[in-house]
Amino acid sequence: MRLTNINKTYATGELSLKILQDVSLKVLEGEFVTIMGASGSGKTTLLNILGCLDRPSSGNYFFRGQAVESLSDKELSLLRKRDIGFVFQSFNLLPRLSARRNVELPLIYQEIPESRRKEIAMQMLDRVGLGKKTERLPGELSGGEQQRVAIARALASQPALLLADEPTGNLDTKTGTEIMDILRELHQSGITIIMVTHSPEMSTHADRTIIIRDGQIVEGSG
Amino acid sequence: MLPRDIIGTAWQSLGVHRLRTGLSILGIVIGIASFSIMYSVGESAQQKTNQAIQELGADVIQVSPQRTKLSDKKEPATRGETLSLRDIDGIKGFCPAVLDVSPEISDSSDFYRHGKKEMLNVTGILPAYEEMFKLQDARGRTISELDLESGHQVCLLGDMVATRIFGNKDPLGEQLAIKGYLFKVIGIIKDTGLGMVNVKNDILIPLPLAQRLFQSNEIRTLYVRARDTNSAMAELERYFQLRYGDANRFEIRSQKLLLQTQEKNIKIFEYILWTIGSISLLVGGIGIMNIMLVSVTERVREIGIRRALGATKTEIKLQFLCESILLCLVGAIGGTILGFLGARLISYLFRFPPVFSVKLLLIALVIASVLGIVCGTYPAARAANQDPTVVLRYE
Repeated sequence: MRLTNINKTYATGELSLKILQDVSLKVLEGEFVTIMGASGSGKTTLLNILGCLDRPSSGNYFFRGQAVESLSDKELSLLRKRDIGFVFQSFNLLPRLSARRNVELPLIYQEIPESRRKEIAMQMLDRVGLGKKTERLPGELSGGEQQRVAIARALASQPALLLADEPTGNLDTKTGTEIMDILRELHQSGITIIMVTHSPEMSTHADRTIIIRDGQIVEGSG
Repeated sequence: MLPRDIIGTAWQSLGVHRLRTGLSILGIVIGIASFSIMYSVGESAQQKTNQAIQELGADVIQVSPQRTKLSDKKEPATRGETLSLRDIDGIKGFCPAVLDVSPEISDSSDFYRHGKKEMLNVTGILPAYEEMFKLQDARGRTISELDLESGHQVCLLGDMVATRIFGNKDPLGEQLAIKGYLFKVIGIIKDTGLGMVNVKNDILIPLPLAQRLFQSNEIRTLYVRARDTNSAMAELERYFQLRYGDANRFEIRSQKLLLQTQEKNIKIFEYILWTIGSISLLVGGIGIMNIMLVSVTERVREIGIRRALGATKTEIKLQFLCESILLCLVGAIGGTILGFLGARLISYLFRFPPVFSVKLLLIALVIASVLGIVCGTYPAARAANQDPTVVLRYE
């Protein structure tokens, strides 16, 4: 994964806000990278760009050798559902769907038939230790359990890259550590992980830490 | 995304706010119900009219002296101003558009059944009457020229009267006393539903006997079978003008025109329902659009999550469009059911046979789908164009 001279500008009225300035970054397959920085420093925007949810205003982004900026919405969606898994700070589960159905969501968009979907979802939930709570609604699960469901969901499509935006931000230290353990395990099984955090403690798990300040990378661009 | 999953997802989302969903489709329900009722009643009336006109063959025109108003009392009606048997030949000779003329004399007569007195209508007719109102397929036989010539004391009974007088007993061949004279029942007749005459409650006897029985030569009504309605009516008017000096003393009504007037009244009713239906659908459509826009705003987060998990803009759009169409379809089905009940009620009240068809349901579903697409497109496009990053930033 290679980013060169990425700029991201938001136009709000007459002011244009430069979120990212000349960000260049390289992440190798199998790496565990954390992005650290104060809030508002642009780390989430960078993560969105990495996750093909957002497009840079200028600059080039190659994802596994593919120039992302030239892809259509459909191709970006394909990339997201096939190669990228997301884990958010606030879990972002759909509250009306059971844990299993939440995990099935990305598979729905891959047009995988229902029986196979269910099978994969059960497997993934089992992997994060929720094999017995598959039919619970998110509201019936604790924060840590919800985040596990979210991780299972991110893993369902067997992505090469897992993007995590402060995955432990809404959790207490103990459950946070448990989640980190799961992420580390995943990393060991070969998945590339890029995690945004502002706690230096969490970044100790990573191979490398990128520090971002006012939209510029100040350390660890690789 | 598989079509099955699109529909399933949409259906699931609709189930979340059941009350809201139910209220939002009320407009569609009422609109489609109005259309269903309109269609059913209109179709039924149309069928009835067509059937009547077809059964009638040539048109029948009814001629009767107008009832003298109270204010005209000063001028007593002279004998010449009522119709007489001579008018039959007169009309036949004068009016080329007239095929046949059939007079009718009627009066009521007392009958006793289980010791209770009952008044029943007795009508004197000629065989032309039977032909004119298609009474040939009676059970038994009808009154013939021979009966007239030989003065046979025979009668035909309407099916209702027959059961009233004879109960479960077969009346054919039985004797019936009318004004003290015995008449033999030779046939049972049924109403043909042609509107102008109502034979099911009638006792028909040969005209000459009726004249003697009622001691009257006064003809109450003449029925005229016309080759062509308009020219026959014009000729009749001219005949009465020449014969009696005033055509306005006679009421000349065409059965076809009567049916058409009836049809026109139903048309007015249809227009009212059509207007209600269109307005309801319009308002209903706006309601659907509104609820869909609310739904999009409420679900920005869901949209963002789905996008992050790999949904394309098109898939999001389809999902919302599908919800809108489903809403309208549910409304259409509800409306059809309501319409069905409404039409049943109306047909019960106005004695119409209710008409329903798969066609009606299909039309309702097509209308609903189109409405769903029209009202869902804009909200769906808005949903699809939500920026997923903005959406996910709401922590």
